[in-house]
Amino acid sequence: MNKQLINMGSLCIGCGAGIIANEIIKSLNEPAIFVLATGCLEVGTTTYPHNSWPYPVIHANFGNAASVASGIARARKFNQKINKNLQIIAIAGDGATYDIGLAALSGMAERGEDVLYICYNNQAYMNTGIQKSGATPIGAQNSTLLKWEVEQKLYPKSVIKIMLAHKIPYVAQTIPIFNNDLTAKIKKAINIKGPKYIEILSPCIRGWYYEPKDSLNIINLAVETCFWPLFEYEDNQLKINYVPENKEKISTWLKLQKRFTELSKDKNLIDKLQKQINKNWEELLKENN
Amino acid sequence: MKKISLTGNEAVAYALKQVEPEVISFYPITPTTEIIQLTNKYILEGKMKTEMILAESEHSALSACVGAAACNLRTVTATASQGLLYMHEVLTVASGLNLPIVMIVGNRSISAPLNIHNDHSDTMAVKDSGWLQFYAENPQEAYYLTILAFKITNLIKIPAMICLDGFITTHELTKINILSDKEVKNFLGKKDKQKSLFNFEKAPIFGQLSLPDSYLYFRFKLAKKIKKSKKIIEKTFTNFNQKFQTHFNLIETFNLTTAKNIIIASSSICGTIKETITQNLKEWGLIKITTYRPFPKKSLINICKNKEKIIILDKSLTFKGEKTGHLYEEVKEALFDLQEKPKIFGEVVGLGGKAFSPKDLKKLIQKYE
Amino acid sequence: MKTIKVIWQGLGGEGIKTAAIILARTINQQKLFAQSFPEYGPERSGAKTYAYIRISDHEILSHYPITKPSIVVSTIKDIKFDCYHILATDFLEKEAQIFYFPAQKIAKKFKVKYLNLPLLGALIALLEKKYQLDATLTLNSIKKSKKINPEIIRAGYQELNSIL
Repeated sequence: MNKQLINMGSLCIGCGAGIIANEIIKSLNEPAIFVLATGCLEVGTTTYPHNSWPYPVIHANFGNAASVASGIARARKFNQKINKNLQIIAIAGDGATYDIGLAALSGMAERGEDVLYICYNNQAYMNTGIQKSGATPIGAQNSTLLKWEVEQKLYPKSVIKIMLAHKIPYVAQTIPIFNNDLTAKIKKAINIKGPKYIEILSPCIRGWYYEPKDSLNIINLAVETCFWPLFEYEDNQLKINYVPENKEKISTWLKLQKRFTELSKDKNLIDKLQKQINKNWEELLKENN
Repeated sequence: MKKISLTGNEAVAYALKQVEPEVISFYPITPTTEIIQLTNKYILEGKMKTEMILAESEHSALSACVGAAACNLRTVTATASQGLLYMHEVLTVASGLNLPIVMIVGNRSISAPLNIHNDHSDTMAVKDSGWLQFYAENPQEAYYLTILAFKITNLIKIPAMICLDGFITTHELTKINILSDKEVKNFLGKKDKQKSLFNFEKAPIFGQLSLPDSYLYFRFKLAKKIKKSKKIIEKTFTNFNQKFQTHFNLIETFNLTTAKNIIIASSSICGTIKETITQNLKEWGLIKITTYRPFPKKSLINICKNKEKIIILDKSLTFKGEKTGHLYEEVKEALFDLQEKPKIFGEVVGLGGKAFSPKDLKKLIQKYE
Repeated sequence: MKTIKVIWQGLGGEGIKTAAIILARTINQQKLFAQSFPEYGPERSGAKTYAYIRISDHEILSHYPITKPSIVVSTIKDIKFDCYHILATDFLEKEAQIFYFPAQKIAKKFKVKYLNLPLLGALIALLEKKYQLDATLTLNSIKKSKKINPEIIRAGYQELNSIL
């Protein structure tokens, strides 16, 4: 099958979403139907009359990728000629997942639909001008929440935990390129029946304000600081996929991104953030054992 | 053909059993919940091989229909009132993507305040979403129109709403004719081949981003399709009438051969109007609007040409600053170019399920005599 | 044949809608036309509920709630109209157009909670006496099911018949 996005359409150079989409497609050996939510990936690759996708694609609204995918998943049994391993893959950004599409995602998970739901998380509504989403981390510069409260939660709500609460067969957190972790997870997910949720940190050169030369570092440090640990849950059993030998300080990751300029000045808050990251990581390690 | 007693909801469910759509996606709401409870029962009894999706909201229910319809399957949902409004942004996607989805609407008022009873404000609020709209006068018509909807949407590739009055028709038990399963399946025939997500060679795309230089063509194309749909609907109605001795048309007329004055209305109220005309209002005739989208402008012009007075009864408000409804506006526009225009009046009745009796009709007529 | 119009009133949860449907369904199996529809608010039980039944020898077109009934069946002591009434009480008596009917007694005998079936029997008796409805055919057409015991309806019919 090995297909590839024909071109990156009108995505920004170095766009995390584009890299992610290609990694997903390269990991597939079977037919698939993609359901795209409104967002960077969708508008950047499907502007009429162009279409970058080598697979059937449907885009309906902003928050209903999970519901549209549910309809297609149920449609499978009415086509005799369909490959038994046809994948229904919904791809939505963090805005479409954490906010407007959360109920639809919950419904899909609760009904047990055979759909792989992928959230590419660039941590804001990037396509429309960096508006805050439910996934925007504290201190990240954005165009709608201009002043953050010091007492605000240090970490955004966890959709991973929400998905675990639905007791679906596969929940995973990953990142492009690093250790081929994403590829391995896609290959695993497509062989599991039922609802699957994979959340992928998607670096955004424009919204995170980093230099193109730091692109790989952005990815590596997100993992090495344990800000974005790589793990998976199969039937709610945790497996951590990567343990850093020398855990890096969060400030090294924040420093690379101009969106954290104001935050970096607040030593107190950085301290709190570092403690929270450490705590989360310790809890994860404990759960693993 | 057989005669049995069914309520409006039961009649629709029975029609669905005979049509056997592949996917039903649904969220319960008064007064249409019963339809899906009944089809669910048929599925459990093995009478329907349908996939039932119990969605977590109406927005998701219609979204699932969009997904399934894009795979070239017959899909249905049923809703009313707030549920229909909740789906609104998905309605326009369904019509924009040319998906032949069928929706049953049990006409119910919209909030606020909250009211579970009948009027037409829900379907009127979405009348310009690119969907075909048909109104059933009674359970018999609801039964037939449900079957017709699947044939028409397959021919035109535009989604359709079949509207029946909440409680008044959905919950009314009456004797109706039903077709045999064979007659229904033969009338529907095979589905047309169309664009499908299951076509991996072609790998089609449904729903692109379209910039200012191309968007308008898509929208005008849809508008043109709806205009063309009139002929196809008329042809399908004629075909159905010939086979099953029914009288479907874009509009239905009653007592109009001699009557100089007309009442125009749609749905269940027309039954009450017909009986009242027969008993004490013989100088009045009735035009019943069965097909509201596309709007039967030509048919109305032809009939209203030489009439004196027209009273239009609406069950919705436009809130444009006057106490008038949607049908009134559209009829007035349709008759605007007539050389000699009849006097046209509009009244809004029956909002929130307020009863409309022959007495009320007579009082109304007196106002304009 | 003039259309017979019945208003059945009571409280939600008493099986009024069911009784009206049973009657309309069985009448529709004869050469007559029957229409029934309920009227109620959003409450599931305890609120005032109505069922309207029209019976005629021709197709019934009107859909509005009945305002001039021929018969009122009621579990709430409400006499608003000038017509026949069957009121559920605890004694059997005829007073001009009003029939006091011991529905509770019959329900107790069959160990059921609802009064709708005894009252349905009484209604059928009245329809036979005053409007020539074929009660035998009607009663025989009502099939037994989980919710419906035709014997209870028959008992109600016999009870009212005894004073007609």
